[in-house]
Amino acid sequence: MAEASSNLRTPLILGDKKPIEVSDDICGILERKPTQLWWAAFGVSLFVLIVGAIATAYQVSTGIGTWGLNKSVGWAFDITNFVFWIGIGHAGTLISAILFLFRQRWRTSVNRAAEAMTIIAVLCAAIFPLIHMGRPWLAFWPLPYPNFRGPLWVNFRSPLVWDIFAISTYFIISSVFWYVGLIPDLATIRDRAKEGIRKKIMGILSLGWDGSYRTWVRYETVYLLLAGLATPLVVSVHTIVSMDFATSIIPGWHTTIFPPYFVAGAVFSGFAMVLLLIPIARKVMNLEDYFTMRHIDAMCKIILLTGSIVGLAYLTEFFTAAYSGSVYEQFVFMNRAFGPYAWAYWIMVSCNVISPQLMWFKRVRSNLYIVFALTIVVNIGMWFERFVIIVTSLHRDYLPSSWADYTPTIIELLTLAGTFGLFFTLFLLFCRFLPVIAMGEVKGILSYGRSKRARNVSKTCDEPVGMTPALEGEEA
Amino acid sequence: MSAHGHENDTPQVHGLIAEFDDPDTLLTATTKAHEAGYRAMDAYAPFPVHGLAEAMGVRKTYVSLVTLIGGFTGALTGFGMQYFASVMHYPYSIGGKQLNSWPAFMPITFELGILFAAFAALGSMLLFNGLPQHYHPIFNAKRFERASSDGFFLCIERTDAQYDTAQTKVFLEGLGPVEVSEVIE
Amino acid sequence: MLTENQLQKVKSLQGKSLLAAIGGLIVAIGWGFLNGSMFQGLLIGYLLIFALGVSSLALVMLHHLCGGSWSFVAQRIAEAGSRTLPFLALVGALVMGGALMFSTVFPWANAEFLNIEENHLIKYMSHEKEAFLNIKTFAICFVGYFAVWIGFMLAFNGWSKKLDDTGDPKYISKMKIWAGFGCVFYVLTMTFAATHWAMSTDPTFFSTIYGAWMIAGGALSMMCFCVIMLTWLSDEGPLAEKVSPQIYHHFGNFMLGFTIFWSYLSFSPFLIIWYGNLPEEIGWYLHRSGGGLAAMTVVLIVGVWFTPMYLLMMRNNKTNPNKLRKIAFYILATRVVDMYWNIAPSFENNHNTIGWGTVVSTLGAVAGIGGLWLWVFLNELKKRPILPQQDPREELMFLKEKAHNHG
Repeated sequence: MAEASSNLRTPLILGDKKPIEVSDDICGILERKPTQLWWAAFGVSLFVLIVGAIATAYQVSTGIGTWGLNKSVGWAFDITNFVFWIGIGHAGTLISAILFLFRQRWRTSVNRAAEAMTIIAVLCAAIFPLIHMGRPWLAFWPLPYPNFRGPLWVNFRSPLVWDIFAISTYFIISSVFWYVGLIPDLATIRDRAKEGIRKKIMGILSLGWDGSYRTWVRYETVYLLLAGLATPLVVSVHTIVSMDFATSIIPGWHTTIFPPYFVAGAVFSGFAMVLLLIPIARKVMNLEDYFTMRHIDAMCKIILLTGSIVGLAYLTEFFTAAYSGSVYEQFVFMNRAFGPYAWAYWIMVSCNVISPQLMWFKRVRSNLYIVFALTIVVNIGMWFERFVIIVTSLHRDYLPSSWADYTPTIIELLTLAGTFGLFFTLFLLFCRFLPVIAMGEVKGILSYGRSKRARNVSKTCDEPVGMTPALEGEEA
Repeated sequence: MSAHGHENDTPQVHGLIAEFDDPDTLLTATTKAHEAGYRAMDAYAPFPVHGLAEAMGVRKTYVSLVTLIGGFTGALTGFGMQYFASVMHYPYSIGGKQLNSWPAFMPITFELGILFAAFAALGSMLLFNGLPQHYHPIFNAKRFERASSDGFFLCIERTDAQYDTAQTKVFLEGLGPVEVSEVIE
Repeated sequence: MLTENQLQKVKSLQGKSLLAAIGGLIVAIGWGFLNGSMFQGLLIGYLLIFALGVSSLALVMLHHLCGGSWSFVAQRIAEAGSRTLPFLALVGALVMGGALMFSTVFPWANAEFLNIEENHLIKYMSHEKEAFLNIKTFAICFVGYFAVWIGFMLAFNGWSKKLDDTGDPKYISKMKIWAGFGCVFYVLTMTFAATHWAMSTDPTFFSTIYGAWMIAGGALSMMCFCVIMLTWLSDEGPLAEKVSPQIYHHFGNFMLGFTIFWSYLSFSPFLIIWYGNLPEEIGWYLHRSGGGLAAMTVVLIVGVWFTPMYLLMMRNNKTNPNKLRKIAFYILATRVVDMYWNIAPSFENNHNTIGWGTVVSTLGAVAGIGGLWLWVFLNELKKRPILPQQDPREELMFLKEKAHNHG
């Protein structure tokens, strides 16, 4: 345990910083001119975004006949991408809300970036149902509003209507949570800025925050409440997404394990995406002292945990299909593993179940390059998971006469690429204009910021350790 | 000093402000000020300092209660809307489900409950905190721009019953501040 | 070590638990025999008590994987609980063996029952599931599950003993690694066991989430049991020094978490199956949604989900040991209602009625098997010091606790 103990004594933020240095480090990024590396990354992302936008414009003006769908496989790329992006978003809420409730203090370095990722990912996800409507300008139709088409209401029993409520609530609350977290930091930028446009804007956005303690008390209560609300919300969102499938009676979709299994999968892929962004942000913006190897280690362990849950869910599904005594169930699962899309299935299994098991090894978790490669592998695997669930369940219908295969068209591939362009463009803009790290929260966990009484308990505890050493946890 | 500052014809004193080096000194100072009987005071810090609320004698807030009420209102609204639309206003059998398909109404009921609760939490926080505020005299304090970065301040306001310019100043200076100064309204 | 007074207390509780066991077993077996609900009651009672034993093992492993001060103080309670697994294997063999031979608790094992005309659907589905639902597989799996659990139990208790004696950190690394594997095995075996022992009482039904649902219920029982034991034993001695309101707060949060998790795992499959409305699945819920069982379902919603959740959301209830203990007793009582609701309707030949005969034999079985189990548990608890003796992590775990309380 010597290794773990020394680990626990490593401070969360390296470099023995004082609060002013944190402000200098984080605000400094915004006050300087962007680096060439930033411009290069932004240029590439913007280009991909534009390509995607052109593809989108083409399919909206032509019609979704430009996709590879057919009468058997009526859902494929669009829904796969939708679930994929929604899933990515979940890690942000998990880091900001659930880890906050569990008092895992290492989250303070990563939560701002992860929350931004959530909001952007939800935006990317929302594009797909919009395009799939075929006539996106009528996107308001599924909203329940009094109208002049007789007493005509949407079907509230439909999981797709639940989706609209779930996703929009999720988007609103993630944004609120993010903004509330930003207010004190915006005040910091305001106070540092010289008179001018930045100061004006930040002055308005920070709502005249003055750091009064009476304000802080209510602010902290609200932050805790929002975390408490966001936690069941994030679970409900992917639960409802899973119900898009599970409430149907299509074998392979209609199974009771879907809600928790989708949630675990979403957290799994979301953490992989955070772990993909963090090393980049760390390098590009010199934030090595804030995003330390400890953060990466802790997130690797969450990936390992959720990856194993996903693996167990695959096994349970197979077992229950065998046990069910239903020939349709049994056929779907055999077809998944050995049918025409077996290649996709085995990519999914090797990326999602086998590859994260490497993270049992400390040596793997402490090598940034391997971790980076594994996160890409996991993201690919999770994309394929949704593809496998959706396409393999549909392409072999109850009637063999309606069996059909699905291949994506170039338009669909470009749209998917375009959302990655959108994702990285917005993320880079966020890095430019807003503090990537929650300064107020980080200052609270600096060894400087800690009270002397706590330090007197022991020299070792200027770095408080959480209820879960395995996650390198922190406990306020 | 601040973007919010503006000139007033007859400058009045808002209170006395003491600046401290670190959160610990601020905490001790606040405790002492509270013990000395000062009530109309406020501490300013760039991050929440554990124990400061107790030191200031801040009572519990009503934010949680408002949030709970918001949550229940949202859930009732959600269920009510679905019930009204599906059972009363537009009764239409879909998929052989009963008109009052309450299991299927649960997701939206839940989502609206969460949404309203979050709005209630945010709204009540802003309302009780008086945010957004256009102007606050505290921004006129010396070096107050550091309060959002690394400055720790304690301000005893003129409205306090015990406030006495000379005596309060002596009291604050005894608490180990970097500097004590007057805040102009 | 427990103090003299505490040993007296334990001894006297052991006496009482034996009395309860005798009384309970007389009711369960005597009344059950006359009423024809003996094995029904015994199975439900057994599954409730079994959950405590197997969740103890899970808690031991969880502690080594990612525990803290809260699981440190409960570690010896959990270890003693895990050492009751051989006893549970014996009782399980008797209960389930008897149920297979002499009753229709597992309809697929009873050819006579299947040949009744109105049971044709059960007969058909039992036949479809023959590969898994036959007495031989059932017996082999039973031995297999217990072999895995008892194997892990022996290993962890052995290492823990050695750690007590030597304080050698290598045992900690060992336990940490095996805890990871153990958790994976635990989830897998529990999924299969739940299918065999509980879900197969209605052979037409199948649900992928069933195992996880059982795990969640068991974990909830275990958290409540830990709270009761800790409040009982921390009046003096070593636990009195270590158990702080902060630790109760952790346990309270876990009780809240598992209550919500259990409710989530109860509602979401219902919504999915209600929506799908397929004949092989929907029956299970139909048999629980009419007559007396509809009332019981409402009791579950209000009493098992809403009430504990509401109580546990309040911080004061979690930091006050007396209040938390009351809530823990309450939740343990509701676990009986939940397990009855989950399994018993399958026995009533699907008439949507509460079988009061089965209720009586269930309560008798809970007291009977529970009393015996408690006796074995307390016996095991006495054998070892009430706290780990030389755990190198101890200092660190409690430092955090102090930092938390002061900082």
